Formats: sequence, C-alpha cells, structure tokens
Amino acid sequence: MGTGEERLLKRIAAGESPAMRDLHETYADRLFRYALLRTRDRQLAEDVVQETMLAAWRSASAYRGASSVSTWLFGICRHKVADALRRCPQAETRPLPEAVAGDASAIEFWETFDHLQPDDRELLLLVFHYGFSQREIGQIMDVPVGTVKSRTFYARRRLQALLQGRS
Amino acid sequence: MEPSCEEALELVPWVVNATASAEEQCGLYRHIAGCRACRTEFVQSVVLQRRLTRAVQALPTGGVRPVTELAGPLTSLVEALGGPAIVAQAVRQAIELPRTRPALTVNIPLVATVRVGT
Ligand SMILES: [Zn+2]
Repeated sequence: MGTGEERLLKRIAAGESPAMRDLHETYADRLFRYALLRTRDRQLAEDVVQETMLAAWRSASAYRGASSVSTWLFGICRHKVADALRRCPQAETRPLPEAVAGDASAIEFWETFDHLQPDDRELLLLVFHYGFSQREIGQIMDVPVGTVKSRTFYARRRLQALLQGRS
Repeated sequence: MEPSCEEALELVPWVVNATASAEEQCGLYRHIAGCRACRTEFVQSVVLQRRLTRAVQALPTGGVRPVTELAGPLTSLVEALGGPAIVAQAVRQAIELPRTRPALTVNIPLVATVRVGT
C-alpha cells in the first residue's frame, strides 16, 4: 500500500499529536454511526469511539499494513462494540431511538432493517454503506471470505424481501 | 466467462459496492444484459444501497472531538482545555490507560477525546 494513511499511522506511532487529530477527523464520524447502529445508544457509541481511538493510538506502532487503515480501525471498533454489548447485552436488540433515527423515511427504513438479525444488519452496513470488500469484511469480522460471500448473499435477500413486503 | 444466475447473484452486492474486480463486474453486466431476473435483483440492490446510505447519513455524528497536546503532564492538557480541577479529573479518567501497562511518561503525547455539546 504505502498510502497516505500508512504514513499517518507512522506519524501517530512516532507520537505526533496532529496525526492523531487527523485520524480522528477522518474516521470518528464513520465509526460513531457504525457504533450507534450496533449499540443503539448514543452514549455507548461515543464511548466506543473514544476507546477505539485510544486503542488505535496505543497500537499504531504495531500496525504492519496487513490491512488498510480503515479495516484495521473498524476491526478495533468492532471489538470495542462487543465489549460494550457484553456490559449491556440488551442494547443490540432494542429499536434505534427516534431521537437519532432521522426523518420519516429513515425511521421507516430502520424499522424494516431491525427485523434482521444483528449479524445480518452489521454485514449489510459494512457492505452497502461502508463499501468494504469481501476480504476486508473477512478481516474486520474475522471470518473466511467464503463465509462473507454466502452470508451477504442471504442477508441481502432477506432485507430485499422485507423491503418488498413493505412497499 | 459468463457467470450462472447463482454466481451472478452472489456478485451483485460486490459490484454494487464497487469492490468486485473488473472481470467480475464485466461478467455480471454481461449476464444481466440477457437475464431479466438477475437484472431486477441488481437494480433492487442499487436501490437498497441508496436507501441504506441515506438512512445512515440521516443519523447524527458523534459529539466526540479529539484534543491533542504534545509532551506535557495532564495538567497542561487541562490548562489547554481551560478547565478547572474537576475537568482534570474527568480528563484523567477519559485517557486512563490499562493498569497493566507501564505509566505514561511525560514525553508521550497525551491524547484525549472530550465530549462537546450535549
Ligand atoms: Zn440470471
């Protein structure tokens, strides 16, 4: 890769604070929305993002470029979400609070989306919103590429059926 | 080689999210040019992606903002924030590292995230 992102991580590992701020600016909102959709709680999601950024800062020097920076960060974030859900297991199954769900059409969409299992929801988010590849999702979720492929196939069809049922 | 219907449907999400290879993309496009059922699935997936992304974009962004200060003890970080002692305590907790790690030295940059607004 040798990307700007990798250089950014090297600067973080070298202790450059502005680099940490750059990382935050690039990723905090993306991670926050992912964490919010997973934890369904604004406060929990903010904590998760904080913990993710601190963990990234602490382990930047161990980053070896085996995955892209965004894949690496989402992998960390996913672990932090799992920690939060262990502390608060019912969070994942409650509806998204209306205060954060957006306008009427977004609320309607989330109501339908919530009929899926949490695993399917996460996968579809990573594929269709965040645009990760099969390999990247395999790295983030720590599953083989073949599993990502087949699970996405079925999850998409399930969501499609739900959306069709509504319209 | 043109994919079968099953292979085409497996490719759909990855062509829609633009991470399929050029070869896979061409294969799928060739297939859906002549297969109405798979074409419908493809179009529905594009719509699905639109709707999902629109809904995600309607979500709020986080109220967490980074505060970074170079090379100083916690007190200078707090001073930089312009906060009183009680803020120092909150910041100390916010950036506290695991106890199993050696204590931070003053030459490591301090990084904290501070919540702003409500
Ligand atoms: Zn077909």
